[in-house]
Amino acid sequence: VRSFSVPGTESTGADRSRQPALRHLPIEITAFLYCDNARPDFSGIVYHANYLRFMERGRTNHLRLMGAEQHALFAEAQAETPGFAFVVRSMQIDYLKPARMDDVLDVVTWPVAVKGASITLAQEVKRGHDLLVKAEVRVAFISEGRAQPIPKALRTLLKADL
Amino acid sequence: VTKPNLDGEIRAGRHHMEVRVYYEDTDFSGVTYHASYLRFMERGRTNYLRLLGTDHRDLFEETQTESPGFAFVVRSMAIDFFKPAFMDDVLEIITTPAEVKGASIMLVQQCRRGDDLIVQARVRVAFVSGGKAQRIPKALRLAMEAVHLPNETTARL
Repeated sequence: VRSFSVPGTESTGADRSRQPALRHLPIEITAFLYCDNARPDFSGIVYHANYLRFMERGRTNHLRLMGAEQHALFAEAQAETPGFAFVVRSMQIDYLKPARMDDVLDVVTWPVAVKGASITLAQEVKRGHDLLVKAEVRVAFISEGRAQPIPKALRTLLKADL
Repeated sequence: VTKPNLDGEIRAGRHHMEVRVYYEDTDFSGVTYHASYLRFMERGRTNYLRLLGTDHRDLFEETQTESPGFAFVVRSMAIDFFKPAFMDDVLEIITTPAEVKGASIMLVQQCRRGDDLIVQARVRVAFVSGGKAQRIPKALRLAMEAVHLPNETTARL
């Protein structure tokens, strides 16, 4: 089963659920993202570390879209904490089913907890209705190389999606 | 054929292996990209199994006969990223079998830089053969006898 994105939103993912909390990022498995482990049973299965790259793209675009939709609040956060970023502190990942070459996957990202200095995101990698990988990712807020409290503007934005 | 400087070594049931962080392992800010640790840790698991196969050739041959083309696949991981590692760092990847069950194994893996714990992961791998999950043959379970982890290590997991 292949899923397609809404035209014009291919690069950052489309919010097809019409729920602001859910962000969808379509990913196509190409030769770059596929690893043949040279084991006959397993050739064609996506290498486990690659899901982390897909999920990172999901998180990056989730933030990008939030910034585009809520420009004023984002600008306020940017002014308060220049060059801010989120770094991964911990992950819990369950690999439920394998993805294969040529699959189109949907990466879904939404916040589940917003604390003073970190947020927890839930992420799912799906192929149609099949849930392949699910993860919980805790990311910490950093600015100028150090962990910092998340500016109120950004917290408000993230909490709106809980 | 195993090569100690490439494959690491097993000491007291734990596999130790060194990796250097190269430019290709880092992200735009110069720190090691978080997914790179998964590649380092998979090398650790692969070499652990490779060395087990050399040390316990008879047990491995028995396993190979019983379950041709067997392999382990990752079912779940819980990873903590404690500190960043940087370009040119030499990391030690330590792989410890913490729990050996009927069809899966829990490995504890650490990425260390000297005394600094950079990343720690609990990795559950399942045994598969012929494309399906299977019970781990007794011969292989014997070869992997779980190392008893001190409480202080498990408490933090």
